[in-house]
Amino acid sequence: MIEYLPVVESFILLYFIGLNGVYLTLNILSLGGVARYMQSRDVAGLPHLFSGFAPPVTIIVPAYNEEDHILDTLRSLFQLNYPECEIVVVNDGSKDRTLDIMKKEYSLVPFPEAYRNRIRTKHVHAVYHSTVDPRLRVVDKENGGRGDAVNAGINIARYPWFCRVDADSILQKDSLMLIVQPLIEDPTVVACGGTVRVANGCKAKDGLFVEADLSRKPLVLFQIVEYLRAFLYGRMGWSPMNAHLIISGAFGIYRKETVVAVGGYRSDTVGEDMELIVRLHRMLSEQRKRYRITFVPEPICWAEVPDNLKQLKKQRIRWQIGLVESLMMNRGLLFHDSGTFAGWLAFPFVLFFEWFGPFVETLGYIIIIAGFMLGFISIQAFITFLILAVGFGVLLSTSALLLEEMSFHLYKKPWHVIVLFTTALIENFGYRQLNTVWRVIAVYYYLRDKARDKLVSRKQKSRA
Amino acid sequence: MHSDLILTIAHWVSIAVVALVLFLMAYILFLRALLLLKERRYRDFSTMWTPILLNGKGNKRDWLPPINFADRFSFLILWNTLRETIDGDVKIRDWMNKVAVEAGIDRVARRFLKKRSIRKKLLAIVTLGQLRDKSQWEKLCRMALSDHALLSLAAAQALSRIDRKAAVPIIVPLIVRRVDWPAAKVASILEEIGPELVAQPLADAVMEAPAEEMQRLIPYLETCHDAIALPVVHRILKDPPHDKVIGPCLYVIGKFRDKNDLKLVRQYLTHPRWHVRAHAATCLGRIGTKEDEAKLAALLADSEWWVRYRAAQAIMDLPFSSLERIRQLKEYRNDRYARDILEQVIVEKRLIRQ
Repeated sequence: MIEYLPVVESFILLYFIGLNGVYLTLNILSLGGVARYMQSRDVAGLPHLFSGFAPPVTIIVPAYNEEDHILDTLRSLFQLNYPECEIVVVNDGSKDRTLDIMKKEYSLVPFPEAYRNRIRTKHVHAVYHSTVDPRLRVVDKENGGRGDAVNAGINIARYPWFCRVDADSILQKDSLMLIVQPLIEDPTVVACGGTVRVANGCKAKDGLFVEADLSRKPLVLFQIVEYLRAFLYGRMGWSPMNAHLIISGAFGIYRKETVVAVGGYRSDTVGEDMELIVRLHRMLSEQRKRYRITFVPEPICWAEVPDNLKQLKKQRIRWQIGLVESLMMNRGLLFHDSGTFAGWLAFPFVLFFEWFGPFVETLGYIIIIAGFMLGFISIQAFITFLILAVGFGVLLSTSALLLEEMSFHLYKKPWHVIVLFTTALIENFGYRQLNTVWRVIAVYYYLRDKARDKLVSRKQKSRA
Repeated sequence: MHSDLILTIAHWVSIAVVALVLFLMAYILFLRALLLLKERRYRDFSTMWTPILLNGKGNKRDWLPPINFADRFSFLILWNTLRETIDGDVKIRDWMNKVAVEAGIDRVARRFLKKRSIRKKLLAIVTLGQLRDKSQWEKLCRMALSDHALLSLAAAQALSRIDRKAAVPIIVPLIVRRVDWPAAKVASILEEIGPELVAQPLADAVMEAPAEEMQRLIPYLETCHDAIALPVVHRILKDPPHDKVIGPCLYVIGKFRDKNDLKLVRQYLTHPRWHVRAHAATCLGRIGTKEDEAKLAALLADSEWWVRYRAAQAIMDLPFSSLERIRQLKEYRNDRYARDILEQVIVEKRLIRQ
C-alpha cells in the first residue's frame, strides 16, 4: 500500500499543477481581455453610437414564490434605459402571493392572447396584461421548474431576442443596453451573458443598483471573492476562445430562434442554464454553424447570495449536480470533430477539474494529513505543501482582485481593498475545503439517483 | 532522492508564489492610489469644461483653458456626451464645434479614424460628422462601404451631416445594397437629409432596384412627399414584379391616407397572399368609409390569424367606429374566430384607454 504512495502523490501534484496552470493561463488571457475592454469602455458609454441598432428584447422573468422580490424586480425593469422591450413574468405555480401582488400593483387583467406553443411546457392557466404598463404581461402556469417557466415565456415572446432575468436579480439602468452591445457588433452571437456580482450589502433604490459595498458576513465576503474569480478570469479567459460553458440564469440574452431550434430549456435538470449553453455549443458545432457565445465583463447584474451555511450547501450541491448533468447530457461535445475550443479545451477542463476534481482534492487533503500523522510525510514537506496549496489559492484570488482594480474597481473605499485581501487569504482555510466536500456529496447524490433511476426502469421493463 | 527533488521544487515554487502574492498586493494598492488621482483629475477637468461647453450662448470668454495631451481623450468623450444633451440648440452647437476645433479634438478624431478599435473609429466618425469636418470626406466615403454594418451606417450618417447634397448620391445606392442597415436608422438619416433632396433620387432608386430589394425599400418612400411617393407606388402596383411588394406599397398608401386610392386598396382584400390581405385591411382602417366595415368584417373569418387581427384593428380604427359598435358586431357573429379576435381587440383597446 505504502509503495503506491509516491504514485498517488505524483498524480495529485500533477493535478495540482494542471489545475493552477490552466487558471493562471486564463488569468493571463483575461488581463489582455480586460485591458482591451477598458480601452473601448469609455467610447461605448456614449449611447448614440449604438442607438437604432439595439434589437427589441423580451425580458423573461421566471418567478416561483417571489412575493418578496417581484415588485422590486419589476420596478427596476421598468426603469431600464432601452428603446424597445417588453416584460414577461412567468408565475411558475407559486404557492405564495406572487401573482396576487402583481395583479394588484399592475392591475393585471386576463387577456385572450393567441400564441404558438413552440416549446412544450406545463399547462398555462392564463395570460394577463397590465393596464398600468402595456409592456408587462404575466403568464400564470402550472409549476414545472425554472427551465419550463422560461420556455413558456419564450412561447409568448414577441421579439427576436429574449433576456432571462431572475426575479431576485438587481440591475442597473444601462444593464440591457450593455448586454446587447456584443450582438450589435457581431451578428454571429447567439447568446451573451452578463457579469454577476454579489448584491448582499450593496445599496439599491427602487430595485436598481446604486453603490457597491461589502457585507459584514464572512460567508458573503468569501462568495464575493469567488464571484470575482469566476467572472473576471473564469468567463473572461474562456470568452476569446468562444469556449465558456455557462451563462448565469441571473442575467443573459439569447437569440430566440436559435434557442427554439435546439428545443429550449430542459426541465429535467437542476442546471438548466448551463445545460442550454453546453447544448448550444454541441448542436451548433454539430451543424458546423458559425456562432459565438460571449459575455460582457462589465458588472451589470447583482444577485443575492446565501448568507448561511445551510442555504449555501444546498446551492452548491445544486450547482454541482447541474454541472455534472450538463456534461453528461451533452457528452457528444467532448473532442467533437468540429474542433472547437469548447469541445477540446473547456469541456475536458470542466470534466477533469470540476467534475472529478473535488475527489482528487479531497484525496489529496486526506493523503497529506494522514501521511503527516502517520509519519510518511515530514513536517517540512507538510508545511511546504500547505504553503503551496494556500499560496496558489491566494494568488488566484489576488489576481482576480488585480483584474477588478484594473477594470471596474467597484469597491471604492480603501478599507474594501484590505477586507478583500484578508478574505482572499482566509477563504483558503476551511471555506474552500468545505466547498470541495459539498461537491463530492453532490456527485455522490447524482450517481446514487442515477443508479436508482436505472434500477426502477429495469424493474419496469422486466414487469412489462 | 525523487521525493527530495519534488520537495525542493515545491519549496521554491511556494516561495515564488508568496512573493508574487505580496507583489500583486502592493501593485493593487499602487493602482488604487493612481485611480484616486485620475478620478480627481477628471472631476476637475469636467467641472471646468462642462460650463464652458454648455454656456455657449452667454459665453464671452475669448480664451480657453489649455488641454493637456493626456486629457484629449477625456475631452472627446465629454464633448460627445454633452453634444448629445443639447439637441436642437444651434447656438450652443456652433459654440461647441468652435471650442472643439480650438481644442484640437478634430485632430484627435482624425487620428482615431485610423485606429483598429471599432469603437474608437465609431467615436471618430460621429465626432467628425457632428463637426461637419469635410477634410475626411474620402475616408468616410470608403468607410461607408465597409462590411461592418455599424461602421458603414455611422459613416453614411456623418457624410449626410457634413454635406447633405453631396451625400445623397453616395447614400441612396448604399441603402439599396445594404440589407444589414436597420430600417429605423436609415429612415432617420433620410429624414435628416430632408425630402426636398432625397425624395426623387430615392424614388428613382426604388423603381430601378432589383425585384428582391424593392420590398425592403418601398416603405422608405414614406419619408418623401406624397407627390413623389404615391406615383411610384401606383406604378409598381400596376405591374408588380412579385406579390411581396404589394404589402409595402399598401403600407405607403396607408401612411399618406389618400382617399383616391380607396378603390385600389379594396381590390387587395381578397388577394391570395395573406400578407397582402393584412396590409390592405390596415390601410383600409386608415382611409376607409362606412361601406368598408362590412368588407373588413368579412376578413374576421380569414384562415390566417394576422389577417383577422388586422381586420379587427382596422374596424376599430375606422373614423365612425366605437367600442359599442364593435361589441354589437361581435354579438352578431356566429363564427368563433371572429368573436375571439374581436374580443382580443376590445380588451386591447380598453387597456390602452385605461
